[in-house]
Amino acid sequence: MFYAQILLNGLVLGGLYACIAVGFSLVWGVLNVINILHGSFVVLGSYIAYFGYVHMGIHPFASVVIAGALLFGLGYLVQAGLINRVVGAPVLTTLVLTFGLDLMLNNSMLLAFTADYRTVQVANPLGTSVIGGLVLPLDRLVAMLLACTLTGLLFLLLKRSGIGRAIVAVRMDRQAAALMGVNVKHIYAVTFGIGALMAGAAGSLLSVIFPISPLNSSEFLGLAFIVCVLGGLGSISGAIVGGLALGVIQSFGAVLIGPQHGLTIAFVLLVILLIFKPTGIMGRRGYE
Amino acid sequence: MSLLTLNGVSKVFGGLKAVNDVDLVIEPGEIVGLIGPNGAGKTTLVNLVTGVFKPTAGTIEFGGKRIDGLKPYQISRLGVARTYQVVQPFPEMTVLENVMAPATFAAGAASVAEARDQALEAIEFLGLGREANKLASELTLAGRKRLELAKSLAMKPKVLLLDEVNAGLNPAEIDTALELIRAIARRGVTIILIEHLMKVVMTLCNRIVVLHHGAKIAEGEPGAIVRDERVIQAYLGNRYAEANARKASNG
Amino acid sequence: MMRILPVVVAIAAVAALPMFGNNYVLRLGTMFAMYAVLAQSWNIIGGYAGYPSFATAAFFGLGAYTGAILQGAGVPMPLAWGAACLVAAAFAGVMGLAILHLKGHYFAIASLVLAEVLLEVTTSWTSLTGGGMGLNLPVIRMSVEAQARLFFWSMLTLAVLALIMSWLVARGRVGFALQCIRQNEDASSMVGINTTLYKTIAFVLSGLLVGGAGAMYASWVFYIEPPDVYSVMTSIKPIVMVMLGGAGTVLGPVVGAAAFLVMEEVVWRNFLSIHAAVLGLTIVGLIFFLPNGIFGLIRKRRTGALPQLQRKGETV
Repeated sequence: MFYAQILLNGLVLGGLYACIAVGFSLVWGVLNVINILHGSFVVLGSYIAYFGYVHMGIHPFASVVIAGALLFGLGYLVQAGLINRVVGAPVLTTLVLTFGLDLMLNNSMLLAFTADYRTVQVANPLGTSVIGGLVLPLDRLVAMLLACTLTGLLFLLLKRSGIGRAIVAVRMDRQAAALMGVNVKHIYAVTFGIGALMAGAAGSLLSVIFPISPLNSSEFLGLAFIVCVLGGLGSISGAIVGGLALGVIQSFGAVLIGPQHGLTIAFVLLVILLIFKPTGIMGRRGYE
Repeated sequence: MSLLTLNGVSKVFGGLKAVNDVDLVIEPGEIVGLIGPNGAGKTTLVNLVTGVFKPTAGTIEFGGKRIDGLKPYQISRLGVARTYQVVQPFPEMTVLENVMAPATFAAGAASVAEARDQALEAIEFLGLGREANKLASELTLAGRKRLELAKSLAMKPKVLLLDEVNAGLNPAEIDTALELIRAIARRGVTIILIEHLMKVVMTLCNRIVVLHHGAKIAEGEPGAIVRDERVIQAYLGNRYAEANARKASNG
Repeated sequence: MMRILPVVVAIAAVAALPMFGNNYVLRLGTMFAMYAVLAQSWNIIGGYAGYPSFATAAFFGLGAYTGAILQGAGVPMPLAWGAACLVAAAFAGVMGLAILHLKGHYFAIASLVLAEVLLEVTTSWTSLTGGGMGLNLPVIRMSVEAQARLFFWSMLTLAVLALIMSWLVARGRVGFALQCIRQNEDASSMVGINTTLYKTIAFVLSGLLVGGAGAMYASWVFYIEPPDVYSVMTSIKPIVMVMLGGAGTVLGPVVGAAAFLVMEEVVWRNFLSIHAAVLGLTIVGLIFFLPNGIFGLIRKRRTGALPQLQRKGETV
């Protein structure tokens, strides 16, 4: 029973990790850009949910839509206006560029919201229930299910919709896609926007679980990295597998080694993976 | 002693056998043509000899020493040079600097001056003398192919593997290339030539090896190869081969 | 191409700073020298070899803690600094063999994570490093002015060593090999370059003096803690400095370090609350408006790779 509980905790956490990472993975896989802004996008989504609740009484889970939409717009503009100009530039350039943009966003959030940790105290929390000896924190569980739903919707979007197929086409062969009439710049911006949307949505969901502060953004970014390397780049399933795996590993690690080492475990895992199998569990794919 | 010996060399990628149990012996001074339809495994064979890939089975000997399993830079220092189908220059360096690199690192020139002299010699030989200070990216395609040849020469190679060196050249440029290859051979470099153009293969090579689906299906003098049943079948298909055979027996 | 005499004159002028400046100016001078060490070191792996390394913070922090722990055990300061260089170099050698086969983003992340892992290990190993509570260094029995001069000249010496190292690499075999590797790694193997060896040399050199700088920094500020010396900004700033000055040149990183320091001081004194955002804005501006750095503007035409071929009056 004890191990089942740890496993459950890990899976719930993992589902959330997957949602955080899947947008990051999409941008990396399609644009070949590592979006350092991703962590700050997540935090921004949390703040939108927070202020939505505090000032307008909107439940954070409903804020998912608002945060998603706003972040999509922001992401689209950032990509179309700035990042598009350096697509195809060396890794260093795009990395440093998104790092610089993140410095600006993060500093702005610090100024606007201060570094103080905030939490969303929902008026009627769902509490916990106990089923079959397992403790189920219901708010987290619902958040995780919503996260999985979102991820599933993204999967459907990529597989079934016109725009999804355009995204996959651009990833496979940019020039061929352009010749087929795909507006590559627009697709890049849409993809980046979707990445931001998923980050913002994840942030909204996380606002009821983790404390909110701009100081957290690098942790979310780090988690997204690790999930991508662990699960494999270029597929939704990779992000899910990676997220769940990371959640479970951290959950067991917290019990066996100590909770304060959660991040260390994750980073050591990352280094080992990068040295021996950088393409991760599912291998590197292309969203086909 | 033969220069290069391949014994039962195979290379498997995943489920695909790219090179299938190939035996090959190259003697010093030969110009050997390596032909075969697309996907026959010719470039893979070159990559195996130059150390880019390790054979899944079989051995490769150069001058009597085993070289399969060595790293590419080690093999190039032993005297094996190759050119690429898609030329691979150092784009931001001049022609001279490009050729000084192999002179320094493969041929082991002791000083900058020595490397420069060796490089200039190779550059002049290939007719690039006037472009020595141009950036590699500023050359025409024909110029870049000559640069590849100059780089190979600067390595003081014993054997030179030319991978589709004529791809993209017009007929006049091809004739010049043929002359250059002959001149290089006269300097004592053994040449293995991967080619699609039959005219080139027939005029240059004293021996032809034919690969198909990774296996060697024929080997011999140019005249014999062109009439070989299996070769015709590989290139042109069964129906043509049968029709040809019927014509031969009727005619 | 570097002219030797003006550079020597400039170094002498900077070394004479203590005669003309007060402690504040000396502090700036020490920071400039430290930045010059970091930038020039990064330039070897990032500029010459073209491998986007974010490992500078790892080497710096490792050097800082090595120096601090040794000094705490009674080792004289200069020896502690030297040991820090060697430890950082050894670490770079071992980790280099592990991660230099990675390309692009994967290499960048791996190098970045090195510092994170070291930070976590340092924080946990409280018995050795003081953990999250930080480490104090032994007090130096010297006047404030004398200390300021000591650290200024020490850091300057390290910066000059970095300059010499950078120059020797650029005009030698190693630099030539790195240029080839940067432009076409596969072709480099084919022309006889042992790419693993040269990349590892570059990575080791990029860590050697940075370790020393970390140890000197620790001695200078008397107290270090993990988030301070392993900060990711220590990896980012040298990259920005080199981009500012011109990557792959010998003097570019030095010029960039100076320019960066000036901007940083101006911003810290006037716009403290938004200094991070200003840095971010600088980065964005650099990438769009000054992609080849200051030296890139001056040297309009790329004259090729080898400085030794560009002596005056040489015709080929």
